[in-house]
Amino acid sequence: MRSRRTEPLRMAADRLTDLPGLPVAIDWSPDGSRIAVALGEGAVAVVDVEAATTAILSGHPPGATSVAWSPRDPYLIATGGLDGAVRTWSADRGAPVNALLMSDTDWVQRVAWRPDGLMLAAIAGTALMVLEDGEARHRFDDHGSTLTDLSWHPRGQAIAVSHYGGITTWSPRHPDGAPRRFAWKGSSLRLAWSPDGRYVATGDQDSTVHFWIMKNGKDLQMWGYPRKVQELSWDSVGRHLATGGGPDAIVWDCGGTGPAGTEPTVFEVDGTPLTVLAFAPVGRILATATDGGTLALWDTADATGDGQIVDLSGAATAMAWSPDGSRVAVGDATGGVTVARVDR
Amino acid sequence: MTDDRVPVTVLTGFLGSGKTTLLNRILTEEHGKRIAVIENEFGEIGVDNDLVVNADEEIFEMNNGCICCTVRGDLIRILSTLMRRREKFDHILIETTGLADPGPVAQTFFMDDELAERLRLDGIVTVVDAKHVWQHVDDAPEVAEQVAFADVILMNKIDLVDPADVDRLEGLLGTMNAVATLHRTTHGDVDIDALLAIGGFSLEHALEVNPAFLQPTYPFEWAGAFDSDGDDLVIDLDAGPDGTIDLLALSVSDASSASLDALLGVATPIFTDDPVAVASGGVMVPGHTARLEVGEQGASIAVHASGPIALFTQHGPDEFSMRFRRGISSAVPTAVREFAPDHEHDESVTSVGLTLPGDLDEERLQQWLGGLLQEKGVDIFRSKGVLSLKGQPERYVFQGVHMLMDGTFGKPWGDEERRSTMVFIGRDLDRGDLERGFAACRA
Repeated sequence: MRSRRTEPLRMAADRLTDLPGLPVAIDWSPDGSRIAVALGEGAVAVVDVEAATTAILSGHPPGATSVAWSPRDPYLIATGGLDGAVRTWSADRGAPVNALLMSDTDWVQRVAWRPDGLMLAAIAGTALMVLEDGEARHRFDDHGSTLTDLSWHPRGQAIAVSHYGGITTWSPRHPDGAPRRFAWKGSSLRLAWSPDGRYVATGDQDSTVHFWIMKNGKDLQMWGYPRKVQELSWDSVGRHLATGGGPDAIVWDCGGTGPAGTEPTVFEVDGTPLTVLAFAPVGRILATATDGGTLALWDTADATGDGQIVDLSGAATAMAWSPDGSRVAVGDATGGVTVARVDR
Repeated sequence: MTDDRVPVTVLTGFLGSGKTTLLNRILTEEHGKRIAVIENEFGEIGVDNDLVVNADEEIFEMNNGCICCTVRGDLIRILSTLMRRREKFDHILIETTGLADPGPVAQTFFMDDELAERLRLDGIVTVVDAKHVWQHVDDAPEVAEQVAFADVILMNKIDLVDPADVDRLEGLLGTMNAVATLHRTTHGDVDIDALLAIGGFSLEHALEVNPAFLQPTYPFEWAGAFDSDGDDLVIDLDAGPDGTIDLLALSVSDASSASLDALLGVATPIFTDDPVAVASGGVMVPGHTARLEVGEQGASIAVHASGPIALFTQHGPDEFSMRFRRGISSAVPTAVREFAPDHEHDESVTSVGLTLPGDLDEERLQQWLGGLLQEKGVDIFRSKGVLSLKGQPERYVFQGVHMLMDGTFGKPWGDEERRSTMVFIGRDLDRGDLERGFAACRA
């Protein structure tokens, strides 16, 4: 196992703004000019990255949980929150477009656009809902436990959801068809479908990572993580999976016959638990950030190289790459958003 | 070092015990604070500025299959989301259903690192309906568990209950959970600090283990010593709450309180042996427990002995209007002891307190405690202790929930007498077994 402590090779970054709350989710506009930030207190901020100006949307009092910028409409933002509603907003007018109350008792945990932007999926309680043109098209309820995360197939033909007892996949094109169930006696907290469609990876409450092989329904379990695993990110081609679950970023190589029996590459930051990590949408740059407030960028293709670091104002709480992979935005617990630019 | 974690209070109690009224009172009186409430049952609660979240009880077993490691998945999810805001809550209240097992709730705060770093379980408050709890203790094991897990117990609605029955309830709850603080309330009217600032799971607080309850419970409620005076001692009884009463006489050298105390250990095993049935007007001999039938007309029994005797009775004298005489003159005991009632209802859930002077051997202790929790962890709800380990200048304090334990070295002993104290609250605990195991750990 290769493990290195990074030299303090500091890089330039702009601390953009102070937001009226704690950033819990960030997403970029398709043109990379703006970011939408969901705040734990409920509001949703739309920040113009170049001009550093901020517009505040009323969002989801008493708390927003999720934000997703439409991949096809440069002005459309979808959000979810503790009010049990899925809402869409016009980013240029700063006004609500649509609202759909999904549950009276459960909050909306996650919203995610289909990669083509034609459908929006949302989870609340035990239910998965698929919306089209702002209207509920399908509702899948049969999970037996509260849903923790959702991920679209990279080409949009299916949705995977995680819950206690494993994961389930549904096809919105065949809403009456049976779901595929991938059972495991444990609780999955996060999931990510690999960009090549071969794997669904989960991070789990009992400090493990699972790779579900979609072709045959079998799974590989990776254990030895110090904490529950809530941080997962695939690289752009689906070869490497970066995982958190402790102070180290652990990167598995799924090339060839897969990660079984291989040694992962380990990137250590500041000794505090990782809270967010994300591979850039192109290339092999991995961004990680910690509870201790250190953002680091790693070139994972060069396992001997050092990372570049930026000190944040507080514990990192949310992260997203710009669509072209040139910048990464990180939210921190003081309400700050920092944007770091990748040198090429 | 200041602990800036957000305190969490768990409120348990059977449906109708007055939990929701209490919750509303807390929210009203603490209106200046930011409080989040997680509730499992629908109730009319909430005050401006408070966040009320509904939860469905979701028990997660961990993949290792250990039932002591079950946690509440719903709470993990909700609590971690509630912590994701810049202005933290001042307090979080979790109201469980009347049928909830408090074990997984408490274990959640041990098993999940993220929560343990940000939140501090301050205490478990259990509300019991003083009028109806008797039938619930018999019918619903959840009630006994909620009492066993509690740091604070509110005996609520006492205005609907005879004061003598409240005393009886206090005795019952005290034997089940000897560590909890008991309050008598009518509408949950108790000082809020007594509910929200308990420190029930803090190791500092474990130092305050009160040795008063460490006296063992006895199968009898009363004992008296009588001088010899020619005639046999006769006990006359009126009809009482039960149709029978168990009595034991033992010969003593003198009728002093010291002799009474010295006999307690001897009397206990004899008293729990199979008693001999005796009809009214019969005679009992020292050394054998008699079960006297007491009908509507009352009963009387004579003790056939030549010297001074010690008499042990299953119930206190006032319950049967017990009178003592020799011949026609009344007899007065020269020494008397009263004991907390050991009720039949609660035999399954009890507290066992252990204490030993001097030092313990750390290795033997670990072996014993480890084995005990492995074997009996399911039945041991909570444990606490302050221990004197050989060679260690400081007290070792620990507390645990089922198999999960948390311990650290605390205040130095200094000039104070070194001793070890331990409390277990659990189901079907064998006091003798625990005493022997603990004693074998002596250094």
